[in-house]
Amino acid sequence: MAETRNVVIAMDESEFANFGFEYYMNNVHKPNDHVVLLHVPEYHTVIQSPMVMTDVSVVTDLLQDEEKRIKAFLEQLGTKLKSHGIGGKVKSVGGNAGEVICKVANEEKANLIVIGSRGMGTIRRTLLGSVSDYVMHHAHVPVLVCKRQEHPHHK
Amino acid sequence: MAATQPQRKVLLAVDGSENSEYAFDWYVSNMHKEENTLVLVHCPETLANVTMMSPGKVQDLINEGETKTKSIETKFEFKMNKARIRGEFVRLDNAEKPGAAICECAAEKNVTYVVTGTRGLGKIRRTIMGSVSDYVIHHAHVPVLVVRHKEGKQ
Repeated sequence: MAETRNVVIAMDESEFANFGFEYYMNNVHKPNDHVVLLHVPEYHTVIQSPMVMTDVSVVTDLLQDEEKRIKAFLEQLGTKLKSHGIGGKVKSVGGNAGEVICKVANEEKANLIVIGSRGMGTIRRTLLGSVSDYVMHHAHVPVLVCKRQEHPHHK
Repeated sequence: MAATQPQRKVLLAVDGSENSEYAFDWYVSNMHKEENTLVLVHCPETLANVTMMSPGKVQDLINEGETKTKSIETKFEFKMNKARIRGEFVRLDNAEKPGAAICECAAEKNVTYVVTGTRGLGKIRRTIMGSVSDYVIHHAHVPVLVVRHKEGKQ
């Protein structure tokens, strides 16, 4: 069947997301796939910085730096698509990562969502929140959660 | 081009539910590649409170269980044949925790990824009863595809 699948791959700058992408390429990708590389920028460095309270210009600088980084990353993603010969696009949408991923998946009429996983333990997941958990439970389409193989001695 | 493609094994966890049939069908229409072979895994339900029952009742339950497992096996073997997919059906008996049994089997068989449906449990029931798909996602050593039944939760 030469149907097109719409695949949304959640990407951040981590190795976990990249693993998800590579895994998709090696094991799931079909030539007619339309891939959306979705990045949800989070201005962590700015929001969590203690300097936010003091100086407006510092905040502006931090924001600009952050924006540059994000732009560079999005360009990287575009290159990734091209170099792998994949049809698709790069999208960057701000907000709460889990919610955004689900929302974009709906908008793009995704057939599948691919997401990496940091493989956190139960407690950390509960305290810090897990994007892959959120997406897994709230997405309306199947989700492929890619956890990297743990080193044996991490058991 | 496909000549040097590695053989890929995909483990699909099934119970008797509509959800796992849906997961199977979805896998076939959306994920399957020609070089993939399937490992269909089923964990027959273990009998609880067996010591409280009469031997006759226990035997009945065991027979019921057997029938159920056999029918699941038949159903999926038929589906695999129909879809022209090579694969095997594996039953993991006496699995106290189906999630753990599935992960072990996945490791043993060296599968590329695991596919599971969900039972569509809500947050609270998941916490109390435990969710197999949650367990598998966090303990499997390979990626896990979770196929939620469309009609499950809105």
